[in-house]
Amino acid sequence: MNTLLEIKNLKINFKTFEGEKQALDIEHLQLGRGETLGLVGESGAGKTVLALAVLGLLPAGQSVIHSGEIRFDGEDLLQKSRRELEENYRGRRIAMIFQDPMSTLNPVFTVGQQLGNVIQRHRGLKGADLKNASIQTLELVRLSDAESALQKYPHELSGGQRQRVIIAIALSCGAELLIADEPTRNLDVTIQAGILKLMDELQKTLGLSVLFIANNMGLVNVICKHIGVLYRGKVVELGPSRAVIENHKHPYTEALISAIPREKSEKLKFAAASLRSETKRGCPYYARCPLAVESCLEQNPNLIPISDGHRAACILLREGGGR
Amino acid sequence: MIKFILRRLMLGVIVLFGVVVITFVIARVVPSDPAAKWVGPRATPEQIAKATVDLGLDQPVYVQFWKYLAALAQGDLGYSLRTHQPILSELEATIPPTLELVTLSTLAAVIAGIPLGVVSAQKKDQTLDHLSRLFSIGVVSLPTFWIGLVLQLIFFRLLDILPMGGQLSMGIQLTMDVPTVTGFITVDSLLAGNLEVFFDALKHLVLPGFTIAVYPVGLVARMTRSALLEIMNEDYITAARSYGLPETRVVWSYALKNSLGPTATVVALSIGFTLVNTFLTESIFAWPGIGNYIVSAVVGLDYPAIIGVTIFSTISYVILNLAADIIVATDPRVRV
Repeated sequence: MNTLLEIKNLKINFKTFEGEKQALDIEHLQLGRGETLGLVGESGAGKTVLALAVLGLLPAGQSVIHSGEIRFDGEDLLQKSRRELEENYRGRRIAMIFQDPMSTLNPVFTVGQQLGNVIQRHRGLKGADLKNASIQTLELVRLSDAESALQKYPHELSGGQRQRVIIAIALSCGAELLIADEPTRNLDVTIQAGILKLMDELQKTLGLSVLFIANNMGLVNVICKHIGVLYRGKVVELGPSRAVIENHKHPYTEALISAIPREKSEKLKFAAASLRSETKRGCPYYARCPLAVESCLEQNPNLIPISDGHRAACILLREGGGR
Repeated sequence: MIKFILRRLMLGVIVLFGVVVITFVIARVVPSDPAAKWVGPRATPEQIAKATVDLGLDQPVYVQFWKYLAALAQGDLGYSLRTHQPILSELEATIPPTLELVTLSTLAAVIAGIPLGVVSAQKKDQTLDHLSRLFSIGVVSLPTFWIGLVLQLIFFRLLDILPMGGQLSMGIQLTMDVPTVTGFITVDSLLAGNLEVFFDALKHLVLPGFTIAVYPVGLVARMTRSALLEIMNEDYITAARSYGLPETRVVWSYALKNSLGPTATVVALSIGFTLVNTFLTESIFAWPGIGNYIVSAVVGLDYPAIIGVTIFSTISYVILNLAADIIVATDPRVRV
């Protein structure tokens, strides 16, 4: 596999008044060219932190990157200066789509200005060329009446239209990697489907590599070939989507899957908020795990190989997936 | 938009009327005898009695008020009790020097205050930010007259490089004549090409200008900083960064344009404050402006002059607030 993004031993802490708190601890995660990886986990699991870390956008005063590498096309992004990131990576080779289309567009500039600024920045186009490129990009995301949309301010667009504009800006300069941070979270369900379909198509036609972040297993399964489950900053299960969904091994993955709404007859299960008091030792899922035993407190479990590419982190598992 | 402006102007007229009523009433209930002021300290009782009739002071207050309003509608503000000059011509002479100070301080607030606030927000919690915040808090909390006095002490008394007060040196004022175009001596002398007058006026402008400008600069810097810090946390700023736009552009364009509303409001308010501040500053620096004029009018209980100045400040406030509202309304989200 031709690896595009590879994350190794990445440890990120947040500064709080009570000292540093671990936000992310990722041993190894990779994404091949043209591949799609979905990261699932509840809010606070570190999904967005990971996305922002790739682009070097974590707020400097509040977070500390302790160790690790984020390799993009072989280059360690953590070693790049802000200027290098601005000129060669952000918006140009790596693009990001944010959660909330309502707040991601600047309210006091028109769509044309916001899109145009980015195209001008990375493709150096001006005047009529710039306008044509802008219209083309908006047509790529199927925004109806692209030309008049350029004159509009964000508040004049609907949520779905705004998300299309945001995707257009992100993909306007030929990015290879697209990081989508819960792009459909704040949209109506019918609009969600449209945006997901669009992203799926764009991924295929443009050959994009996609890091898709969501808190919903069902969504990720639609878009991604691979799934990583994140819990409290750690990858607890990772593998091809089919294997993770059908043959999940980690109790947290099971909780996530049983939370996907299905037919009426089936009861919706939900993960217990907490069964025991939180501990700092051992397995991060200990407090909420229905299967936990004494020995879970002894060590933080490593990922154990189950089948080809499928791994899960639980000490109750043996290699190959037996308990 | 035009409807919005007209509506606000109508409101302004109502405010103006209210202010005139209040000032008129207060000026008349204060124990003083305008007729005695009018005729001077050595007048006979007969002269005072005659002046009372001439000035219409023997009539009921509401009749006097009605007459005053009727004259006001024709732009007649009455005569000064002390100088017997039309108030309007006295205002015409004293407003330009004050506007010169106010314009200078407003320019400083915009040209120095906004960038100071932006840089401060950019370098949050670094030395530059601490210095700028120290400056802002310092100048906002120090009384203006104190700053003026200390500046006089340093630059006139100790260093002797700047004049203590006035708008021009006596010699220049007597020998050189500059045609009045704008009423700002610095601008007029430049227009006339008279550099000697210009540099003399400039030298006189430095201390009062600085004294009056530090407050708005500090206030605007502080407000810009806090507005910007809030905006820098918005998603669209993180998004703009993720597009690879240069940081300077993100801050000075994407973020600053969003903070324009609160900043404009503060600038407008600080101009209003500056107008009041001229009362003290002009007294200290013997600046022949409206602040100096109102101080002597109040001391002399010259009520037509007091009402005249009050009308001028009210109109200024109404216009300033309208200007701020118009700037806020340039935000595409605001519908007027």
